[in-house]
Amino acid sequence: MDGFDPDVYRDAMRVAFEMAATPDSGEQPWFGFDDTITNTGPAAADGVPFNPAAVATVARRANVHVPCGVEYADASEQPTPFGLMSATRIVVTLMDEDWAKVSDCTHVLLGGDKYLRRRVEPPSGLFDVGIVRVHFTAVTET
Amino acid sequence: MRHRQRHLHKTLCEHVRGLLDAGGWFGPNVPFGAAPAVLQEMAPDDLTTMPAPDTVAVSMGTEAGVDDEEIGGGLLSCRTEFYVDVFGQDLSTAVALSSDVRDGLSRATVPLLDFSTNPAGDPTGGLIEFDEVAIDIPPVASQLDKRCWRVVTGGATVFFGE
Repeated sequence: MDGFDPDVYRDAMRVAFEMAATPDSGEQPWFGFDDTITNTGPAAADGVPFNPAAVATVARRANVHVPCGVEYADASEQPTPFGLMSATRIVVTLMDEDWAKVSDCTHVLLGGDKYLRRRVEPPSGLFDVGIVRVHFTAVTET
Repeated sequence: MRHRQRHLHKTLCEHVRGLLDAGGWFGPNVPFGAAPAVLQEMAPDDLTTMPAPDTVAVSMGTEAGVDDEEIGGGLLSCRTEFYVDVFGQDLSTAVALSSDVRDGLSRATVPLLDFSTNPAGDPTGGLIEFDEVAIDIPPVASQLDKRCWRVVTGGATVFFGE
């Protein structure tokens, strides 16, 4: 598309995302990843060894922050015996280049709360730029 | 034996793995040309996402109390419910997969293995007896395509020495 510079667009969107973010960097969205669990002996599927005397080695990958937009939706229903049927959730919007850095994330830490990754919306974009929207639901609420 | 249910679960997983392997479900010539089965050693934790085609997930349920057996001599037993979720790529495959699992578990008795140090499991002297093995159709409660979902349920009673 003539006149459309994808890099300019991406940078402008990143600025907009950062403008809307809280000034406290620790409270901004941080993308988290699964731990890598190593065992010297047999272990169950969740990585916990069968031998009570064995200790698993856990390698924790550092959380990553990239510019992104966050839409917040509060839990809209009362608790039921099955849990919240519509739990608190966030939708995170990122540029394709930034999503590539965190696409294997399993959760997001935001404002002291943890949100589990649920699903990625079907691909969308603007000309040469991919726009990614990812849904997360809260597992802790403060 | 400490943590008996963990070893029971793993023994059941390995037994189901053997059943699927014997049935050719891991390939290379999978029945009906279906996708190779994937054995998962825990229940899917998010039922809003459809698992991969032909996923077989083994999980344990309620564990009953320990009973004395009447034959005496310190023989005890403990029954635990189990669930084998089968997510077939289509209805026929789900029915066939769950049928093979059910037939392989019905009235079967297998040794309880200890996986503390040996990945292949060491015999413990205990025995597992499967009973009331049936195929259930989960009730409608999620967005999943129920036509392809079956659950093999039953009880696994471990007989072991005091």
